[in-house]
Amino acid sequence: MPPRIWYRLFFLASVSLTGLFLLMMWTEGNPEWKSYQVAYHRLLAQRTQAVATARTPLAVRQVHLPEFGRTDRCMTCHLGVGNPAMADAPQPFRTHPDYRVHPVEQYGCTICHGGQGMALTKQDAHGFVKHWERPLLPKPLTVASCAYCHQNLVGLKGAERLVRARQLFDTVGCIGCHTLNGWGGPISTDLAYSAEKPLDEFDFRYVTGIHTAFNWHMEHFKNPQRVNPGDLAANVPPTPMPNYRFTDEETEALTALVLGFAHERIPARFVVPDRAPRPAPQYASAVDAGRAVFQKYGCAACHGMEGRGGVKNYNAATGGEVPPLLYVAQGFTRDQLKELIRTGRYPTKADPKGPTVPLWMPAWKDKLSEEELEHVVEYLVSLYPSDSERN
Amino acid sequence: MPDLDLQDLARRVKTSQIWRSVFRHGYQDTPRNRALMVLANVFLHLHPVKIRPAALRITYTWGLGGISFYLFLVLTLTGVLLMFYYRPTVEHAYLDMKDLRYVVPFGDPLRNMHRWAAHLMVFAVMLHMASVFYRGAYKPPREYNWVIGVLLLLVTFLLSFTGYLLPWDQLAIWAVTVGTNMAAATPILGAEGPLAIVGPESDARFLLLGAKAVGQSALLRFYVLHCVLLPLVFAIFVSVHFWRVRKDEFSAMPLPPKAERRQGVGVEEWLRANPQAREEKVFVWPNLVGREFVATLVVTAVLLAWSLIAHAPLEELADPNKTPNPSKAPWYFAGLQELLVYFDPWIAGVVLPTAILIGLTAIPYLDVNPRGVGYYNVRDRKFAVSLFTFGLTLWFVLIAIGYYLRGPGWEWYWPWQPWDIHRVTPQGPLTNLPNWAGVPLLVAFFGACVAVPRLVWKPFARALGPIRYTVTMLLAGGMFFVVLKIILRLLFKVKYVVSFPGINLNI
Repeated sequence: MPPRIWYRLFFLASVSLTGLFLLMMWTEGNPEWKSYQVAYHRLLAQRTQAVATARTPLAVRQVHLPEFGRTDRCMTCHLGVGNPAMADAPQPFRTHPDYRVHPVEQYGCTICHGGQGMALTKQDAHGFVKHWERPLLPKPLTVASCAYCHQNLVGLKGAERLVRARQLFDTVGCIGCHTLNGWGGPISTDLAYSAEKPLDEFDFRYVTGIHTAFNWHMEHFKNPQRVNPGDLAANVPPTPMPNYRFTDEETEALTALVLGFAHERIPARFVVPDRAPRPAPQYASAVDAGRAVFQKYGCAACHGMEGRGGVKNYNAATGGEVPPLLYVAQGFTRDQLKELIRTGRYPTKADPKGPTVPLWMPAWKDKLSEEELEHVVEYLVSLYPSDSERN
Repeated sequence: MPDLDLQDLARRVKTSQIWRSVFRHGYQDTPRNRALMVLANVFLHLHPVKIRPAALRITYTWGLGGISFYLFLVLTLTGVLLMFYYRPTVEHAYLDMKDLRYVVPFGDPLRNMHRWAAHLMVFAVMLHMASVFYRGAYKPPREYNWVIGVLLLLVTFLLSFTGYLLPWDQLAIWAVTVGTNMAAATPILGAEGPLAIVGPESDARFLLLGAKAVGQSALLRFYVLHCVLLPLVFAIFVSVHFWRVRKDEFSAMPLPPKAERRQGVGVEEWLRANPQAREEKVFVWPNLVGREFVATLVVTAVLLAWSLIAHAPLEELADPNKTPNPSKAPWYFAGLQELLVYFDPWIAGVVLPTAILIGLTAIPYLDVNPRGVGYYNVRDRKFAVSLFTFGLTLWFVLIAIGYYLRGPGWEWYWPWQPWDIHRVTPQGPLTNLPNWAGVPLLVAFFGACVAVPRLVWKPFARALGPIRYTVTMLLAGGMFFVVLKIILRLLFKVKYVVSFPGINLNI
């Protein structure tokens, strides 16, 4: 006879195997989504007075979209998206406000909203789980996805925020340092695929909220130096990106804009091309034309609005700031100015052992045309304050 | 209604031709039937009819060989089921993983069980090898079967490694990238190895991947290897393994009574004085078969519980343009990856694994000590046991460091420290020993490994004979050189002992 331990093991293993087997069967038969479907069918039966609806068989529902490379199963729980009877129902059953223009059968859900469309539990589907890089966008940021298809957002209902963000983007001159789709300065990161940057490349050490890309962008727009303070011990300066003191709304709009910079595979038939006529701009004077050049190349990003300066440039010998341009007419001839813009300049360090100066004047000779150069110099000279302004 | 005579019915059924053709002998508990249970069943026939009672003690084998084989069966079954849902293409593989997780009935526990059983099997096979070593079961007449066992260990690694790629997530392609880049460092046949005679379009890595980097062709190759070729090879070797166990007899030896052992009676001497003890045997049915059955039940319960609690890892979709930092090899190769800090890839990834395999294979032919066969014996096998234990410890310590204590940039992180992708610990300049010093030093080290022990343990060296002795000491020297190089690197900032950059040969 084997020792008693074998009998005990046999008993224990058999009992636990039976228990585990039953547990597995139960888990398989009672997924989270089934309770949502039961609740939905009951609610619908109540509202439409069609009693039989309550007994609709439970099943996984999905929209398979090979064109988008997606399979969305969101409607397994969000059953009312296309049913006008559920317009005021509680979530997850409410009708989609836009279901006639963007029917879920054609577009699915995740292309606009983000999230993990293949998943069938709330947590996994909404995507706030490890190893899912693009979770559900918060409501005010969903507008980011409009730009995937709509090439011109001006006048598009609901996309006002993005238009506003784009104006801000141009005004503060993001393009002076950042590149976007091959256009812009070499100083900072390329924004083309901002929405697809892997999460582990973000530094979340100074982010207080949840560790998602949109939260990082929100906090970074609000206060770039807090999120990216550098590390002076390792000779890394804080980020030179100015703190523009954006309002909450502007921050949200800009975050949405940046999260729209993605490389989404959009089938041609969904693309809404930009057909708005764009007449060549007319300028009253060379100075006005120069102001447009100043904005086009994002000079304001470093030299400040209207060249008034005030942008921090850590460890630069010019007082730790990018020089303002108000007085260039005093120190430079027109030819010297042109030459400086053409070749660029690297600032000297205030403390030779300190960190590399983050902002510098790139060489613009391959980007600005001779005419643009002429105009921008004209504009710079015009910045020199009149006697009354100086006093 | 006529009376139903159940007894008569049972008798009729049991005497029918069908019943007797299937069950042949009855289940009456007689010695004859106990023997027939094993002899008349093709599967149970892997066992002998009777074995020594010593073999039944759980503390002898810990059931590790049987558990390894049972896990192989579990993996085959779950693997075949997974094949119904899996397409080995870069478009579908990852999505099929998600479908298994969310919509395939029982797909989630199925994949979890396959994954966890695979890890468990690698671990069980390694432990099985260790237990066989410590109870001297590799010694004559079982040398050949030990070698088969080493090959099975290798096939187990390869099975697990090829399976690692199939989910096609970031974890998969980068672990396999780390692993196969080592193949590119093979001397002569790897494009980046010393004395390379082939380019990246025709080297060892290309053979594995069917391309210069992990992609569709690698996925297909690994799939075919994982599902067809390697299981076949495993099945063949494991059949030989079992057959040899039958032919060589199970190794377990009866031990003298405790009182005599305490008085210092050696097992071998006692067996010589009591030859009848060897012959005492019990029936395998039900003694061993019953225990095996209970063991499989326990393993199944553990696996099922594990599969219901923990999901098999699945990271982001594979992206050859986004290298995660750190990229780690599968855990059982993390020790070799850790050695990349101290050695060039051709040593850490090719020479050392080869040397380990050769060394393991050679053990039964180098160890001439006749004592300690069939029971755990440290006292009479101090040299062999300490050498093997040292190597085993080194292997697992390196794995633990590589797998648990390395973070971004392969920096050292304690488990409670959060990872920081920006952290770079300055290493200070590393120096190479000049070759005029390094080459003689290397030769002197291995020379000393051969020369010195002979002076200290003369009878030991004489017993081994010159060839066995030299091979043993060179292999042991190789193992100690790994530790020596780690010390040289950490304490003396030495990068290479010997360096010929022209032919990529750096040691």
